[in-house]
Order: sequence, then structure tokens, then C-alpha cells
Amino acid sequence: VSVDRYAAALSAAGDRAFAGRPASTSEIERYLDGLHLEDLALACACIDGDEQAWQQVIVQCRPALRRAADALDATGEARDLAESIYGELYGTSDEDGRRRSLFTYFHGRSSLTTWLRAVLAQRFVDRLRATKREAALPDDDSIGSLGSAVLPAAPERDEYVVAMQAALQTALAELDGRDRLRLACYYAQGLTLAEIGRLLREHEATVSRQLARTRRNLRSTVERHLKEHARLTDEAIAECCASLAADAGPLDLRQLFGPDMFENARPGDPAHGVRKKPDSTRSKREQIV
Amino acid sequence: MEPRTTSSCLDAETVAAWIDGGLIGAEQRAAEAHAATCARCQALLATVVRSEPVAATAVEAGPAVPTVWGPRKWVPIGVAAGMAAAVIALAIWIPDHRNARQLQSIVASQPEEQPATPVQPPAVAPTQPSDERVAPPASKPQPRAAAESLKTAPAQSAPAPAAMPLPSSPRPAAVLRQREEVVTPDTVIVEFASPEVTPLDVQSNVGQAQGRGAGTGTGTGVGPAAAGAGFGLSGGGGRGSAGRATPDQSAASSTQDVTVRTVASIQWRIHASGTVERSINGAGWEPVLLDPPGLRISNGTAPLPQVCWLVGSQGVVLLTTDGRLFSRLQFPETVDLASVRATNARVATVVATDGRRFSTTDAGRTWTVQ
Repeated sequence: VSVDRYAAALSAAGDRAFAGRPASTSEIERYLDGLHLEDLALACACIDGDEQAWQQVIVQCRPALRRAADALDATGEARDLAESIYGELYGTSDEDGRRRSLFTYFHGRSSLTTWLRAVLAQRFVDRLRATKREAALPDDDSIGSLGSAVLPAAPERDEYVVAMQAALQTALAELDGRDRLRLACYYAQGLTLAEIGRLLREHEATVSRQLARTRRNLRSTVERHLKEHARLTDEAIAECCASLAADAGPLDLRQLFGPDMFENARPGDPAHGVRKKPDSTRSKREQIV
Repeated sequence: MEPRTTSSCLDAETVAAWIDGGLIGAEQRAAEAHAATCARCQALLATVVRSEPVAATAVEAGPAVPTVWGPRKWVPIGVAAGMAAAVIALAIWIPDHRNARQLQSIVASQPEEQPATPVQPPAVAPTQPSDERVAPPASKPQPRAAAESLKTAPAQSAPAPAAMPLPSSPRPAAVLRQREEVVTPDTVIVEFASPEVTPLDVQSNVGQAQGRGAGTGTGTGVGPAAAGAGFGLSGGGGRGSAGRATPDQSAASSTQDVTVRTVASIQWRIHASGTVERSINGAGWEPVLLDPPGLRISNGTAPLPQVCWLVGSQGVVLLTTDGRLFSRLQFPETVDLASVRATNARVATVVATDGRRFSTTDAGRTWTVQ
């Protein structure tokens, strides 16, 4: 690897990490200690077209990337996605005709394998977003009729749904960011305590305790909101909670955990610009439920 | 080339740095703050975590109980895709019963006080909920006997009965002694299943109901899988993603992949050693971590999906309202408990080994002796 190339990569990595903001000495030391310099050098060599570096990447990363792909999707489609990444790693020509490698975006703040897994996951999630947008949904009348067959709707149910939606929105908004993320990972993403612990650098028991505490706080805030804003009595709150716990109806907490994923589609993204299902569908379902 | 959904969304490099601990200070906080409110970045983080080869999770390092997990160490085949797909496809449009579980968790976390003739329980250190991997619903429907359970499953919003008939259990202490004499520590002494209440599944349940037995009940027998024969496994609905199926079609297309998420049917079993295992949609038995470890569980019941009561020695009463996390409830005495019957997450009656019955109508806050 040429010195200039490596220096440029290190400089870009530093710019990326600190983004022009002043950093303390300890932060700089921690940043430098955490750099994966060998992997960064390997990436630089690949950008330069070094054959041995490519062989090294293939040997080092391909098995892990395949395992990650298989873990994501057993049908082999994720593996195809993983294989397609190599083309981007080699580089595609930009408007100026210069080859631009995906390795350019690797800054050594993680291992090369982790970075490739993240790239694969990003492709995987974005592809799902694109494909699932147009997936057909069960007919609304079936949902409505089946729901009503299971549980008779309370007379005040519509009111309860609206009140609970508002209360939950308020309660979730009041949560600390980390608490909210922990909750979303557990309930919306279905991660286990151990997986959340790895993500947030917390012990599994700590995750469990914090989740329990967050749920208590959430419950408390929801009750307070229902009393103060929806003017529900204790009895009505209990009925509201029981009704929605048995059948959430149109209430979707995952929607409350984060903004509509499809709304975030960027221009140029395959998912961007695809028409959402007409609102009439939702209205119909809500009326039934 | 580097896909970024919005200017603030996390890109692959940032996510990788997060996973490997390469984010520092303000950048880590900013990334967490964004991920807390962005479903897309939550999905990305979750996908990366799931694809991580982990040597040993806490569950796998947990109690040495029989497990059929096999070599897989993280997400079962197709689960990650299913989860992500469910998040994407269902987050907006389909009110599935994951919400119900969330709401149940929240609702049941602090049950309201109800007047009773209370027996003041001694202070019991709250048990931290434990966790173990939850296998999401299988993508293919499995044999089930849930139609009857649908008919018999009590609606959670229904008023609780004033008194619950319990099966006569003469000499429970003798039963326990007998069990200890004839079984090995790994013998399954109790097996029971939660009823399945899944609106999206009702039609297919009806279509498959004929000729099948009831799918709910409480095992109190002694011996391997004494009550297991009566419990059918329940899987995902037989509904294709591209259209609507009649009940017969649903039953016939049992090999069809489905994209809807349903309430998982959970089977529970308790070993003679006091350990507890759980199977979701028949996906294999997983050990349930109870905190503190070493609690000797003797019996249990699952009156509703996600709701399970467990009782054991020394006044141990545990309750989960989400099918995952058990909380230890206060109990007035440290007597060994033999059985439990419940109608929902609030109303239950526990029978002690000395024959006394303790009832609660407020999720264990107060107990009345009968």
C-alpha cells in the first residue's frame, strides 16, 4: 500500500469520526486504539487493485459473509446479494469514468468482516423494503370478521383505540432514547435480551431489568395520560387496556417506535416513488375493526 | 454508492463501527438517538446483530436442560427474513397480535388493586424477568387442534368469574412424593399449551378443525408427557401472501409459505428437576431461564396465549403475560404449591401441598385463603 493512499484513508477516517468537531485527547486515543489498521490497509490495497490483497479479502471475509447471508435468508437470495457485493467492492465506473470501489467507504472503525456484514444487512433490508412494499395483504373483510368473531367489540372501543394511541405516543416520546431503542429492539425487532445486550453493550440481566423498568414507566405514563387527557376513570382504563390487550385492532406499536420506513426512501432507491396502498384500504379496515 | 436513506440514517460503516465498538462519545449517542426513532435503522441494526456468529448466548450457557436447538446458534432459518419482512410488510397495515403481546405486557405489568379479603404477603424480592430465544412463528402451518381452543378460550376482556372450580386433587402431597419416587430428574412431569386466539387464523383453524381434539388444558398428571397427547401444535395461518384463501384452501395449502404473523402457540413443559421448557409453534423445546435460578417449579397453566402461571416449592408463583418474561409474584406463605388454575393473567387459584387453596383476582397482589 502506498503511503499516500494509506495516509489519505486515515485522514478520511478521522474526518468521518470527528466530522470537524473538536475531540478530547481521550476520545482521540480511544479512536486510534479502536482502529483496525490492518483491515484498512487491506482495503486500500484492494482499491489500488492489488491481486494479493483481493485474495486475502476473499479468504478472510467470504466464509463469514456467506454464513451471515445464510443466517439472514436460507433461500439463498441473501447469498446472491452477498456475491453481488464483490462487484461493488472491485468498483464501478463513475461519471468521470474512474473506478470507484465500495472499499472507499470503509474507514477502519470496525473489522472488515463486520463492515461487510453491515453492507450485506443494509442491502438486505433495503431490498425487503422495496419488495415488501407491494406485497398483498389479507383482505380487510377477513381481518374484520375474524377479529369480531374472537372478541366482541366494546361500545367505547373506538374511543379506547384513539385514546390509547395518543397515550402510547406520548409515553414513547417521553422515553429516553436508549430505553426506547431497547424497547423497539425487543418488541418491534424481536431481538433477544442477549442480542440487545451485544448491541447496546449491556449485560443480558441489565437489559432485562431496564426493559421491566421501561414497561412500568410506560404503563404509568399511559395511565396518567388516559386519566388527564382522555378523562377515563380507573374502571374505564382497565377496560380499555383489557380490550386492546386482547385485540390491538388498528393499533400498531411498531409504527409508533419509528417513522414509516417507506417514507424514508431516498431518491434513486428502488423503493422510492412506489405508490403506497391507497388510504381507502386502511380506512376500510379501521371501520371494520 | 453507499446507500443512505436519509441524511441522518445510519450507513453500513457507522453500523459496523457501532457493532465493533468503534463509535465514540457523541457519535454513539447521536446514532442511538436516531435509531431510537427510526424503524429502518432499527431493522438494519437488528439484521446485523442477527447475522453475527455468536459463540454462546446466555441461553445456551443456561441451565443444563434437554434442548433440541441443534447446531444453530442464532436465528432459525428464514426467521431473520421473516422478521424483517414482518416489520416491513406488517408495520403499517396489519395489526397483528404482537401488539397484543406488547399491550398485554404493558397492561399487566401493574395490575390495578381490587378489594378483597387480603392475606398480606411477605416481602418477596421481585424476580427479574429472564429471557430466552423466541422462535417466531414457523413459516409453514403445522398440525393443530386449535379450533376447540378457540371456542373455549376465555376472552381476556370478559369479567372474571367469582369462583373457579378446581379439579379435585386429593392428597397432592402424596402425588408429589410419588412423583419424586418414580421419575428421573429429566422426566417431563407436566406439559400444557396455551390456547390459540388468532383472528388471522380462524378460518384456517375452522377448516382444519374437523376430527381434531381440543387444544387446551392443563396438565396435572404424573409421568412423561402425561397431558401432552391432548395438545395440538399450532402454526402460522395457511394464507398466501397474494390472495385470499377459503378455509378448505387454507387447509389444503399447508405447504404454502405465509407472510402473515400470528400469535405463537406456546407449549410448556416442566421437568421433574423443576426446570421449565417452552416450544413455540412446535419449533423445538427451549429452556426458560428463571431468575433466580434454582427455582423448583412443580406445575403451571396457560389460560391465554402469552399468559402462563407457574407454581413451585416455597411459595413460588411466577407469571408471564408475554410468553417470555416471568415475574415472581408475592405469595403469603412459603408453602410448597402443587397446582394452579387460572382464567387469565389476573384470576388464578393455587393449591398448596397441604390442600389449602389460595385465590387471587388481581394478578397476585392479594390472595385469599379458601
